[in-house]
Amino acid sequence: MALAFSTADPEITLEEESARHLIFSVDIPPDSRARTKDVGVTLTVIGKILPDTAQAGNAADSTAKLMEWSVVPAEQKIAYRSVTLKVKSGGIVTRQYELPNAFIVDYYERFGNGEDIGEFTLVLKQMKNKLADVKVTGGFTE
Amino acid sequence: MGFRFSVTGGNDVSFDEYVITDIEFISDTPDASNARSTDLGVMLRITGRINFSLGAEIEDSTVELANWALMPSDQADCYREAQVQIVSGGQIVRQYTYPNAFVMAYTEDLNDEEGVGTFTLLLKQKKDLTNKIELKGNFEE
Repeated sequence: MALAFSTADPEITLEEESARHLIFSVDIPPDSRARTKDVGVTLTVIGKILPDTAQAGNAADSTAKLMEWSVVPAEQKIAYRSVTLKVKSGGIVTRQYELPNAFIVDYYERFGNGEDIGEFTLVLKQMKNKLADVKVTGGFTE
Repeated sequence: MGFRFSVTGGNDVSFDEYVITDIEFISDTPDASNARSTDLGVMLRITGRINFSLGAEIEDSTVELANWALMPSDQADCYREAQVQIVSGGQIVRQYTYPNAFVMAYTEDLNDEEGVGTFTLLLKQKKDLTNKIELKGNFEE
């Protein structure tokens, strides 16, 4: 199973060895008596921050671009990006998540001297008034 | 022990023993009640695998659960009939039927270690129609 994460405008394409774990969730308030308008769509991606030992000085992966995105002020247009995450298994796309107006809720990076690679956690949400544009598809060949 | 789960009243989907791994039936009243509360909510939590079919031959029905979870509240088919059967040795141990279920929470979890993903769906019967649910058990298949 491989996870391919990308954003458009500005573009970030994470290497497929970077992302390791994804959680897609849809929630409404837990005390609702019936289906509500207050729906939240969250996409969490956890992955590795890899060093490049072959070419010191070159960026080994694109995770630094996630770090830059995480500090973009809300006034700027590029705080919102179109995110696509594909899950590939056995030659087919098992899942494709599209969040066309995603913003970062949380972003963490952790490094320890035991593992020698870092780990990032990216928590994205679709802008709440544009929930109808979220698409989940799957089971097709690329 | 096997679990079967079906949803009707929208795009109908059903899942068999190879997909569903855990079922929880939850009936819940406020914890701070002084006496038996009329504020009774009944929920169902369904956990299963996101299997993929080789060559994309069979449609993966779990996508429909994700689309149901994303459905806006102004559409009629955001309420659907959900039925869960718990089967063991030719006997239906439990059969839960929620005729007006809606999605409280839906989560998909996929990683590069397990090979297949998992989903968790939390359903609730529309609260004013709680008495419409049907709970049965211990009958022959």
